[in-house]
Amino acid sequence: MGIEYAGMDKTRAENGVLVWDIKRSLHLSSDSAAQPCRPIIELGLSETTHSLDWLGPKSLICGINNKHLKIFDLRDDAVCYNGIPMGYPNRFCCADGTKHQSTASTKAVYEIAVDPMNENRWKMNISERFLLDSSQPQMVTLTEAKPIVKISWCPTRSNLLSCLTKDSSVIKLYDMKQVPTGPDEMEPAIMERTIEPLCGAICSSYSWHPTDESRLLAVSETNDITDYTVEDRITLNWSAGSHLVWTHGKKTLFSCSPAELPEAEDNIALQMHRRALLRYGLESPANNAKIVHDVPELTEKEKHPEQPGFRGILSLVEEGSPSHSAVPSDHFVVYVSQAREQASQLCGWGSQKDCSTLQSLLHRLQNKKQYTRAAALAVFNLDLRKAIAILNFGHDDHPDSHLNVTAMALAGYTPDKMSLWKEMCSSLKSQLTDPYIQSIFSFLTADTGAYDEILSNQHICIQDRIAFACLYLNDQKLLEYLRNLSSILIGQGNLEAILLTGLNGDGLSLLQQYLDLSGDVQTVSAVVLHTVPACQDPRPQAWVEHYRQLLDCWELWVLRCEFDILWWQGCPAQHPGQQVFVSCTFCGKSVSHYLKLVNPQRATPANSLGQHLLYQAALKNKVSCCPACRKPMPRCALCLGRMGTHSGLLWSRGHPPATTQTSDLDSKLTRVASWFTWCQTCRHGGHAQHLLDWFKVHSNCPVASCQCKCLSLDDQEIPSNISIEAISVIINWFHSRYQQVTSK
Amino acid sequence: MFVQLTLNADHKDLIHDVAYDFYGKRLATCSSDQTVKVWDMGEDGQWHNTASWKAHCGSVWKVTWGHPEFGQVLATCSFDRTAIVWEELVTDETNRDKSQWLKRTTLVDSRTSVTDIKFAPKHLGLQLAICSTDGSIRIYEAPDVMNLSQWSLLHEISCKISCSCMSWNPSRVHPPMIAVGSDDTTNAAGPKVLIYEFNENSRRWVKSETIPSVFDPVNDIAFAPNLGRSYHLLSVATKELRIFSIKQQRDLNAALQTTLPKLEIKGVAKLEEHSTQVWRVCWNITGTILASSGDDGTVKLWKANYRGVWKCISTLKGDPKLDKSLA
Repeated sequence: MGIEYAGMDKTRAENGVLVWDIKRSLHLSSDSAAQPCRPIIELGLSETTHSLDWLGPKSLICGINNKHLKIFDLRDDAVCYNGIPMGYPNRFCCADGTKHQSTASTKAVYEIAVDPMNENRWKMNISERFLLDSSQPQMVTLTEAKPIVKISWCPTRSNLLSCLTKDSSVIKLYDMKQVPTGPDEMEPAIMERTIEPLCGAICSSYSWHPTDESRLLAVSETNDITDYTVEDRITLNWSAGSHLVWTHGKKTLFSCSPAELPEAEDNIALQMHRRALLRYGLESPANNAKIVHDVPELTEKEKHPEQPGFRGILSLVEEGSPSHSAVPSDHFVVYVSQAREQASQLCGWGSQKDCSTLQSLLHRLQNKKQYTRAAALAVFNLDLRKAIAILNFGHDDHPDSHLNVTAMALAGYTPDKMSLWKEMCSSLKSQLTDPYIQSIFSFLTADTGAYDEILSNQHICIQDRIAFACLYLNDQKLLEYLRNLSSILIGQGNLEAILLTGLNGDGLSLLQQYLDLSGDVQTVSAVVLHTVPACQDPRPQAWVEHYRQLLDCWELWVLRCEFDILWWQGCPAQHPGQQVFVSCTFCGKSVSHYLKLVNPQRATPANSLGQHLLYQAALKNKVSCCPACRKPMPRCALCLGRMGTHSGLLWSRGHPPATTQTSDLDSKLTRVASWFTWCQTCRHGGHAQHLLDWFKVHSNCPVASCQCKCLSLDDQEIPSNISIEAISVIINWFHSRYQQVTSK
Repeated sequence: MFVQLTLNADHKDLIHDVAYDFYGKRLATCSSDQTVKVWDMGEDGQWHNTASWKAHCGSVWKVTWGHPEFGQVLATCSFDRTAIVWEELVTDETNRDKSQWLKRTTLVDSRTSVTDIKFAPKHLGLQLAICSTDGSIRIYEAPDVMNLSQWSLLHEISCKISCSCMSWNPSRVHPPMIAVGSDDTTNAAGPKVLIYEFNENSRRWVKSETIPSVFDPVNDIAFAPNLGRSYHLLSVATKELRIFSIKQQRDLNAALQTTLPKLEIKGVAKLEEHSTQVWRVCWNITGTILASSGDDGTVKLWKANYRGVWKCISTLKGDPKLDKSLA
């Protein structure tokens, strides 16, 4: 506008409010510098102006004479209103500078701020210090503890009033909400917030940036100016796929993909998603191990699922008969019992009588280049010669590992308790860095039965330690050690402890602890799936339930199906019954149910060839009418052929011959393509494959007069990751399961 | 820290809530400008605004998605004292970039501003809980999930304290549980987080615990997805960020008792790194990472290490572009 105003203290017979036109003044001053600029309008004769502000483009509001608010309308030759005309299309606030309020007219004249947001449809007066003028409806009073220095409306945000009090470091922001609800008028809700633009220094004034959102300049008492942006309150959300979204102000959303999140590698949600895609938990234990090479524990535990009842070593040892000691070599006392034998097998060391397990383990370790571990195991099994051979071999493979030096030292072993060798090894072994080499020497130099150094070494594999303890500790010490170790490991949620606990009560506590610490519900579900799905404990059921829910969230329905299949395979007792039936439209009887009952003796042919032929015949002999009432089945809307199913026929025949089951899994049942399917709304339908083909190009029902949008009613287009082949594999699987269940 | 997507939501006023649907493929935002917007992830990997409508005649505080099993359902609550359930109208496949949302029901029982709205976990059926500043939690149910226009008021719980936020316990192995936070400033010594449980025997919601040690106004509250853990995690956004673990004491005689087993509540973490009011909290899908936003204009991510110590693993600037320009 180029119009400037000034409020003045009263001087006699002068105006309190002066209005200049800057543009004109500039023009004038360039013309003749000498001519003084004159205000275009002079208002408020002999009055003291405390505060003023523009109220719309052509009117001014002023606080005058300690008591009045005056509005001057400049369009109409400076008409003055005393007080605020009703229905004035703006709202403003004014501040009362005094501590006490007189009863008569408003004293809120020291600061005035007009809300610049023209979108406001109602007006409201807010005076500072909770001053209310009863003559004005919708006036709100806020009380501050100290006199107000400045109030103003935020120019970029509606309803946001800011207020600074004297000697204060904080600016208060009031977010005013009000709903026009007619006669049932509501108190405006005011959300209060404080900001400290100067980090604690006292703020003397501030000013909003006219266009940048929520930005202000604040000036301190020491005249430091700070550019400050009021941070809007941020709201945020996580998605199922670990995307994070948050808001910024009123305009922007930011989202962040999981890969960009810090420590993405460490994020169990992402890990589980990735592993689920790799079919983790659905494969054989060995493949699972490949998928989760970074969770080595799993391989250990899943190696032994064939153990009866999944008993742990701890319970084996607890219940085992007392052991007797045998002394295979002159120096070491070895304890033998059946329980120890089993434990040693569980740990992979094999039994004492049969060295082949151990030999193959050593071989595997060498292949994995774990030479020191292999050597240590050989030493623990009192085969020094083998250990030296392994170390030498390791040296050949890695010349700079100096394993041959170790081998040399080892070769000097003598059982003599007082030898120099022993003395030197005892003193030097602490300098060794490799835990296994260290353990070799502590083993060879230790007094009988004093193996704490090895048993408490956390760098040695737990199964090696357990197997070692089973060989060299007496019954009492062994039990003590195992109990101690298992409670420590359970506390740590270390899955390797599954060796000790088995999968009964303690094992579940261990899995629970692991889950509590890691959140890895996938691994525990996989463990339960491959071991004890029929377990009645509520905890495993809950884990699996949560994992299935996760798969749902990730839209991995095929994997979820496969998981369910494996799950129900494990507990046929809880096998879900048939949930979908096809019933005849005329008599209401189930079509497939009836077929199942047809002539059971025909289902036991003399030989496999006979059954095969019968099966071929069944394929041709399609059921095109209801077996109960002989009324025809409905026609497929597309090919107009009668629909029919013979899946039920096959179910009734018991096992097909093994050859057909393996070689020709697909053809032994009705193909999914020719299954019934129909729209739940318009009840039109046909063969699955025909309908799928139809809806690839159409969205309406194939029946000519029907306007039903069957496909879009089904919410989404056909998910691209589910092919009809995938569905048929799953369904076929269900059928074969069903056969097995029914034939039992 | 790089941001993959920036989305111009173009609301006319502050966005109060943003919500992903069950699969993370749709977004809903609500704002003080009284509108709700729905965004769909397109095949190009960008969010497209597919619907935008004036939902209320007051600021819309919260928006939340129903479980997809019940259809495409949104619920909003507002300063105008109502909560509304919306359902997407299935339209022509060819016109998927614009969808239409129908108002199915308006819940008008509250006499004051409705501050939070949450669907119950799916296993409880189609239930909806709202809390309002008059200190009431109201739980509604749609008895017929096919008919979203009929909701009956099942329970009305009086908390006697102005409620600002609430959260359902998502676990299905425990009785239904709701935590409520209050932003009440009048009673500085009163507890601000209350936990209610549903008692199967008396078929009523009863207050089972109050969380001690939280006396400051609570801005947001969230239960972590349980995932089969033996305890529940509850995060509370107040003057600082607090995390509590809630464990149901295992009692074998629980079935015989008329009262619910006692809850064991432990403070797990008190995180003050926002150094201002914490405004919002949200858990990731596994309940292992907590995201919080504060008045300092940052988003912080928190994670517990193996010993259960919660640490800030990342700080994101509210406006990452500003951050980059400074760097």
